[in-house]
Amino acid sequence: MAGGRHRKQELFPGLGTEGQAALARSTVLVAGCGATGGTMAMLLVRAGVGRVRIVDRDFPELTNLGRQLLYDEADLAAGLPKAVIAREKLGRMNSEVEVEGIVADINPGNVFDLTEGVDLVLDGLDNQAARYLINDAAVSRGLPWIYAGCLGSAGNVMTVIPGRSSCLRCLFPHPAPPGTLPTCDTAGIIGSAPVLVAGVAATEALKLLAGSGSLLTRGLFTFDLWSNTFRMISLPDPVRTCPCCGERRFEFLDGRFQADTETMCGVDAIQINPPGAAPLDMAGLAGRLDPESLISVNDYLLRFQAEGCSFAVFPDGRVIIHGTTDHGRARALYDRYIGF
Amino acid sequence: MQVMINGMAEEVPEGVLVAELIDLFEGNDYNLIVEINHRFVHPRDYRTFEVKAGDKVELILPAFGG
Repeated sequence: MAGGRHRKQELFPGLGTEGQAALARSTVLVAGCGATGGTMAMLLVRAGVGRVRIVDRDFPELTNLGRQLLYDEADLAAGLPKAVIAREKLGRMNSEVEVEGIVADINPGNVFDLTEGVDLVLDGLDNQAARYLINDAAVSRGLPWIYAGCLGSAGNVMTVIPGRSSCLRCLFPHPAPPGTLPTCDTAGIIGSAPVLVAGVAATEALKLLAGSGSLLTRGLFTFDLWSNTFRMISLPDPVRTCPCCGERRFEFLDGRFQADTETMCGVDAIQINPPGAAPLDMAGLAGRLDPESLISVNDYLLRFQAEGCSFAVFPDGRVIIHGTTDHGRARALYDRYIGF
Repeated sequence: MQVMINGMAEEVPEGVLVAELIDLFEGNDYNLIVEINHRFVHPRDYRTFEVKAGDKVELILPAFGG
């Protein structure tokens, strides 16, 4: 129809009016609504995907504004969760789309409810553990999902079609031990990396939802914008010995890799016990932190401060975060600065 | 022998294994994606996969931020 909202998109031969109608019939979960998730959500809502469910556990803060395109300074003052702000703003971008905003930390107890009734899950998460959980949930129910991660000036995108392509655990069979992976809060990030990741992942979503599945990438797209490298790594068929898609052991759904959090009695603090405790490399972790945030480090204790909280990290991986009684926030801070 | 690692020519010992290459160039960081001559190398093969002269090796850091 001439002059319609999606006319330019319908002119694109890859979609056409049939593809556009298929998008309108689709439901997508965007898990995590920061830089990558927020940009993906904007692209899908503007593209006319029928229903978009956003889930995020966080509030916007000043250090987000350099790359999280969905939020602005007024949002900091409003003090609302990202999922609530996202629902509001996305609704203004395209009122024909049904946008749902859920404030929650994705965990084994809610992941099935969150993925219920969706055609596809898009990954806008900021940590490894939640991705393994989404991978377990998606593979167990035969639901496609798109891994989309970024760090520094680099990014990875992989479309997972259960039964047909490799899954996240085919690629990374076991999660890296806590404290061994760089995070955006320790290694830094530039805003263009999540935008490129989101653009590639959202395009994969359009292909899949509009019935052009044969054009999906078959492998891992990886890039580094700073060194000008763009590669597509061919992956083998699903690995028969993969714990998840091969042996169908859904260890993250079982909760055995979920970090325990407990409120510390009488103080404004929460203790986090990571799963599968392995000795932490205290010096290595200290080296990845912003030197200005570091208070002290020795073989027995690493102390640093960030975002109004102070952290006491022990060699067995246990962390006490002073300055919050909110378990979701403590878990988010742990993922950002220790990394799991 | 000479191999290409992330686009740079490097001298490495004959018969070097992927795990040893990671030790040499990435400081024991096994949380990597390894591709040799455009083929993905599964992490379970790092200790048995031998790198040959002239191989093009890519050691890629996984990105888990968002």
